[in-house]
Amino acid sequence: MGSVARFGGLNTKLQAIYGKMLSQDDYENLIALDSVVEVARYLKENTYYKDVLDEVIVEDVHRGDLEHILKTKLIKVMESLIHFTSGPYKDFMKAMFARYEVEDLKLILRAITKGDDPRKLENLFLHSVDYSYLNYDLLTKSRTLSELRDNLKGSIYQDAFRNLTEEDLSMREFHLEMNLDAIYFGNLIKKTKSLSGEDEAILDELIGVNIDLVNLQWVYRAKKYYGLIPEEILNYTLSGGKNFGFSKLKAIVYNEDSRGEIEASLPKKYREFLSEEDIYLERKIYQFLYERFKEFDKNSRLNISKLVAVIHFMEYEIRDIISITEAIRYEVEDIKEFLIRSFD
Amino acid sequence: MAVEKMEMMNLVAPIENIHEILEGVVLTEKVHIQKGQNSGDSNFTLSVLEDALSTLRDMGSLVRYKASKKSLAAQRKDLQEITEAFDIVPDESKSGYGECSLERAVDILCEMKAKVDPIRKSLDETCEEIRRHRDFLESIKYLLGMDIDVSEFSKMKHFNYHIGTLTKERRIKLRNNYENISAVVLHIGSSEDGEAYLIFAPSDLDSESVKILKSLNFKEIKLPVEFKGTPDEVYEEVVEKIKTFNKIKEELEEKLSLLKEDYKHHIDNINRRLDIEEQIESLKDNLAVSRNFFYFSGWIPKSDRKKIKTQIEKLCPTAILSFEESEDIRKEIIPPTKLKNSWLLRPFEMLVNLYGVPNYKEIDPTFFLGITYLILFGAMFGDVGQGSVIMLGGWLLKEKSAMKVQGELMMRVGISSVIFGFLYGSLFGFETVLPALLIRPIENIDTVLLSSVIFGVILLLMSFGLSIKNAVARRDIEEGLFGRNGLAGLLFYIVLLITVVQLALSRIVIPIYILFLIGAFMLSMILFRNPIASAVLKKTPSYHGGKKEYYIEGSFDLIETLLSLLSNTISFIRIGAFALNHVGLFLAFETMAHLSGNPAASVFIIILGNVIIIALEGLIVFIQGLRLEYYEMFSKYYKGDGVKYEPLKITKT
Repeated sequence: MGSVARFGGLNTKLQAIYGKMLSQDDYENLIALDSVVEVARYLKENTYYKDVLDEVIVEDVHRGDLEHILKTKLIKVMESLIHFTSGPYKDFMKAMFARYEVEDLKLILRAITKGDDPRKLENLFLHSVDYSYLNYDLLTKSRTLSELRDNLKGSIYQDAFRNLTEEDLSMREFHLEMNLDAIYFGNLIKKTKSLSGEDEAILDELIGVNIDLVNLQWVYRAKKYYGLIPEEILNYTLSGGKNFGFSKLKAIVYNEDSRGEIEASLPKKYREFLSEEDIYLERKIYQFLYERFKEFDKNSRLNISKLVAVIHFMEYEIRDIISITEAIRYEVEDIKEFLIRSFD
Repeated sequence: MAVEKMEMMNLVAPIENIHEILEGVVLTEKVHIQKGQNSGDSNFTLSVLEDALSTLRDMGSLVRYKASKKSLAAQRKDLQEITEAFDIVPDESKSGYGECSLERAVDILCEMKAKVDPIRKSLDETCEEIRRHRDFLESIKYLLGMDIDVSEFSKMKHFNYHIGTLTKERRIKLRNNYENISAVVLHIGSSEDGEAYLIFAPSDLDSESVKILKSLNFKEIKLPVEFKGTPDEVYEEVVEKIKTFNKIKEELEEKLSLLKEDYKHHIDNINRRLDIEEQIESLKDNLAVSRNFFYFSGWIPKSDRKKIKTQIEKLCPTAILSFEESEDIRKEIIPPTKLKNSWLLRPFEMLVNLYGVPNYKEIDPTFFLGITYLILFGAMFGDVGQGSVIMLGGWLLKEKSAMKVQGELMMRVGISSVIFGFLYGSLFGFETVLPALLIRPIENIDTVLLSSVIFGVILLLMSFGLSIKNAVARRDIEEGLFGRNGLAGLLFYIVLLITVVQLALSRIVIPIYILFLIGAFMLSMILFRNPIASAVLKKTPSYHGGKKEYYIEGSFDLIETLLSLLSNTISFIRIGAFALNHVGLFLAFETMAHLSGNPAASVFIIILGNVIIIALEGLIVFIQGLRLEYYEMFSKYYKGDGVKYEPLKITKT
């Protein structure tokens, strides 16, 4: 199939979505508001989040609800986009939906760990009903890890449970979470192999950078909070990183001064992230990605970059809206400092 | 060719006989319970009873039956487990009376369960043992040829060992980090589950090794302690063990099959008894009770009344049965429809039901549809050879597959095709072999096309007739006299036909202006049908959605009536067109066969042509025929908003 047939319709649709996203004025207006309720009302009355907020009574909205509602918008958009794809591209998009399955599975896992009833989670699930292949009725009936494992048999996630025992559950939540992430990314990378060479290369970089991000966060948390031994930390890292391959990660993990090691092994363009405080690190990384996507989008020809870019833009937008509500809640002054979106 | 007459059976009996009487009702397999007619609390049975049993009301206040229902789910499950263990399926096609009582059925079931369960359990355990040992063989395979005693592994003081598998991805991670791992890692083979490794780690560092292995998604295989000797010896030992287990398994299966012989004949009876009991329980939702009596009503075919009456009265002489004709029942309660057709046309009920089940008061269109469909199909697809193939295909379908009705349908249209084949003189497309008894379509194109339109006109006129008849049955003056498918529509259509024929023949018998006046008069009847009919019935006119809308909609309706009458008529030209098309398509293949100049190739092309014609054109003609029936004719006279007669059934075919 020619690239026009493949991306003509899709990119037009994407451009339309991009056009509807929040403008700089919207951001300014949101920042000026005083409460979560006002943010929700503003979104309901003035933005394309209207449809998901339609039946919501804004007065009752809490921050957590809002995040969930906004994310359902993203899922909705993705569901509408998948109709414009076919063949391996459709498969790739389906693999993207798996990310929300993973998020939901993590919720179920946490509920089981805490001894809660996973059936209560129903309203928090994000997965696309049309593009999920898991039986959630069955999954939420699981009360123990082995039940969950049995209920996931036959799905791509069964390998995450290879050697897990009930005793591990409370100690090693991360074990399953990292394994699930590994499966998600592994599957995503696998699906890129059937795309055109150009698209595969683009996704290779984008997914690679995403994996770097997950890995760095993992190493950082594992060293600082979990007290794992280096071999363990290393074994849980995801393969397929763009700038941090196995040997670089190994150097970071085994070095006492991992921050210095990270700095040393960073390409120049990443290096500035670390000159700042920890709290800005995540934001810096996202900002870097944001700029990267914008670049992609700007010289976008008919390839997959626009799709990935717009989905990420939406994701960042939602993150920003949530950051804004948090900042309003805790009365933070320079809200803009915490946002991914940069202002002129 | 009709809708079978239904009657309402009302039954009153002492409440202590409730079980046996309901069983009797179920066993007749003729009683239709109407469900969901009046949604919510007011149930069909109760609403009927209020009418029918007003005389009995003084015997006590009627309430809906609320006795606790027996759940047979446990017995059902037991039976299923036993049939699975015996590997038999209960035969549900046998009719007749349940030979054992529920108590006996439950007794036998318990007895069987007590005998089968332990065997099943040990069988499962044995299978599990066999599986476990096989898995173990798979893993110990990697150690074969090593000259060490396996039990030595567990005797090691300063080292621990692990055997297990790793996935490919994590294996690479392990390899790339060997220098930091304080263990000896030996690759011993590969299996479906990944690569197998034997790992020795110092006991002091074991907790660390376990952590690392865990993070590598290492799946450990446990060596049972009881094994001694070299891996080869252990292997032999395990193989022997599996053999013993297999022997045990065979013995257990033997025991089971003996039990199966003992109990086989009970299975069908128990199954049938459970079916009956389940139906009885479901019936209990439709009962009303007073202190001493219970009341029940349902639909039965009138022709079965006597049989049912004697059956139930034999069971319980104290039961009072009364029957009511469907005409005497309140109008809102619509009886179910049971179609009764001759052997020849019964398969066409499927085509009717595809559109909708006839309303009880409607004419069953199966006869009309069946006959006309046979003609339409034959006329469009007339060929002795190809028709026989379709007939044969239908016969195969009927005999060899579950699609019996479809097969019978194919046989009938096949026969029709053969008959028309003789009329057209066509055999596998060849027009020269057989004499044409009636006409050769391709030689007489005009005649064929014209006669198909004339045939269409006849069918449409008949449809009008049926429509009017249905309206009379419904006592619907508005539609019957003044509707577009009623008398006014019919007269308008006739006027239209006369006009067209006169113009076509250029011979004016009735002056056009008179025709025009009659036509205009009929159209205005259709437009003003609501007020006129209301005036006749001395009622105030009721316009749906306002007067203005009624007339705007009405005038568009008139234009549509005019257009659709013309297009409905012309539509029938397709009968002739397909008859021609049929010949033409074959001509194309025949020409290709001639052009090839090679006898073998010619034969191949002719056969291919026939296959394509039968498959492709057969399908098209099938659909086009259906289209004419549904769109051109059903839309005129058929509503199809009935409820199918579905009596409580135990026997399954």
